[in-house]
Amino acid sequence: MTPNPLWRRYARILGPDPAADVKDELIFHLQTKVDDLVRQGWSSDAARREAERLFGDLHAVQQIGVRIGEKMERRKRLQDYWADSAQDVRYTFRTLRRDPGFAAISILILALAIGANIAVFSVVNTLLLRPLPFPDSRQLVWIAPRPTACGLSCATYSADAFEEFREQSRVYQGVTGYMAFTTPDNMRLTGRGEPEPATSFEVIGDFFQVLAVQPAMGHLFTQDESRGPHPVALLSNAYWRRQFASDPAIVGKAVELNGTPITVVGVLPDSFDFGAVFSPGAKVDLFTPLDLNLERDWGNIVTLVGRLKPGATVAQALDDANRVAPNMYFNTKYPQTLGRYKGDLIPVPLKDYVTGKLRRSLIALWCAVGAILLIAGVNLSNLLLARAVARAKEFAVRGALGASRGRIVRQLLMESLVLSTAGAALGLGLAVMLIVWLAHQGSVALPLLSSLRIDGQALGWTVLIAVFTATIFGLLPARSRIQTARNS
Amino acid sequence: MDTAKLEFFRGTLDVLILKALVWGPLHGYAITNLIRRESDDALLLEEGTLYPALWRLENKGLLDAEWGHSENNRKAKFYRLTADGRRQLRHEVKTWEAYAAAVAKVLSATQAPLPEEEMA
Repeated sequence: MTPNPLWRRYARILGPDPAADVKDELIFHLQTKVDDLVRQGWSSDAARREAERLFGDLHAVQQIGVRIGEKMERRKRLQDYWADSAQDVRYTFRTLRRDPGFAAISILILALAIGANIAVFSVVNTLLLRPLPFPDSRQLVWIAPRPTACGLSCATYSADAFEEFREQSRVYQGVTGYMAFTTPDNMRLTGRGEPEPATSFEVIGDFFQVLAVQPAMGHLFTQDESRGPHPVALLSNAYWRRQFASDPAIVGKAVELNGTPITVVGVLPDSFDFGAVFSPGAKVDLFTPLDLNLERDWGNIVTLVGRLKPGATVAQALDDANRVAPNMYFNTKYPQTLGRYKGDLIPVPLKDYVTGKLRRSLIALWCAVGAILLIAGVNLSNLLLARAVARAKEFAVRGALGASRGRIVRQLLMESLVLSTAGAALGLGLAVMLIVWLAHQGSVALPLLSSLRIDGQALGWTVLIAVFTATIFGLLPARSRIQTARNS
Repeated sequence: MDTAKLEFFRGTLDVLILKALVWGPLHGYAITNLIRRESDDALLLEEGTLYPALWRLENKGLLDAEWGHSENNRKAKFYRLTADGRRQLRHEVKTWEAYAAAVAKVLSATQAPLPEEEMA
């Protein structure tokens, strides 16, 4: 960038005034003209009139001049501003290079604090802010009693109760569920050499239809398959890739589970991770349809998941559930079990169920990393303050050479902005590594973990944090500069 | 004067201003005098129109301006060619010469068009 010509600096001593400049210029013209005419023998009055006649529309010219002058002034001011900023940045790099220890430590501290913030924000964003990975996921509700001490047994329903509820409820497009009591590696995949453990989940036949999950291959369970004598299964995408080497012709083939041949009817999409949503930490390999007829005497075994009709609210669902509950038997064989579920059918948005337990701890965690960032910022603020004291002489010299207080404060802000930008960049790198690592931790019992990623929102958050930190910890020393400047 | 002529005049005035400044900085009044004198009073311009042209050229970065004192010791704004201005002048002069030569050639034609051109 070319330096400002000297006259431009001079012109600013009294502040720029395009209108006055234009006026001066035109007055000079007219006066000189009058002088020339008088010298040629005109009377001064006649000379003035002649000069104005020759000039033409003075007022119009003046207006044009003011307009162009103001435009140029604005541009000059902008150029000066950018030239000064560029100078500040260059100067910042120079001073930081002179003190590499300080620069490295500040950037590292900031990177850790900002990285932690981005990582936690991404988790919070995935778990609390983003919707569940299902179409129209707001329609999905989880229906269960209020949480009690007895755990899953009190959070599930009997086969009879499930059917009554499904038939009598009016607010749902579909009601489904799954067998809640499944243990990991409950099956053995046989018939392929060494038996291999596998985890199979039994779901109500229309489970995937209600969640609106589209199969990657093959088809979901049909009504016949849900009840029929021929055992069928859907494979999870990960299992299909791992155990069957992504066999493109797997649909229709039979696999042997515990010695029983089961036909694979389809493969679920990669985006569907049952464990991530319903059973954090669990990996599920395959799904089979749950035959309710075999489960009638097993007590509470199924969970309830419903998809509300468009426009229906959770409050309406609660009213509806309260209407249905008195007509539900625990077991239709025993009439005295009628109405056992009164008050125990509470629909909540599925999202709340999945993340609800974590909500408070996540927000606490978020606040904690926010506090860490604040502490890091304040610490750096102190470091900068100490540096500013050490640099008092430099500032005094700059002030004596004509740097305004605003300019010095801007310089300090620029230094902290450069530091925090570098810190944010490094922190983002750390956060990406952390997030990628976390997303591949199947064993960490956090829901939705596999969909963890750094996205545009996280990046926006990063920028926000960087600027915020820079301002906070740059402004404090700058403020104290102003005060010391005032006192001295 | 209709707009087309005005535009033409404006472009011409720009190049005349650039040319007037080739020998060194001048204020606006001196520029009008110089143009009038050099054209033997053939180019009479309304003196006011000079200034918008000057300011436009300054805004484009073809001219630089500086306040100084005139020969009659008044505060005056002096204009000076920038490097860009000098380049622009060379370019304009070349274009002008080519244009003028072409026009002159056509206007000074003394022979009737060739027969085959008449047919076409």
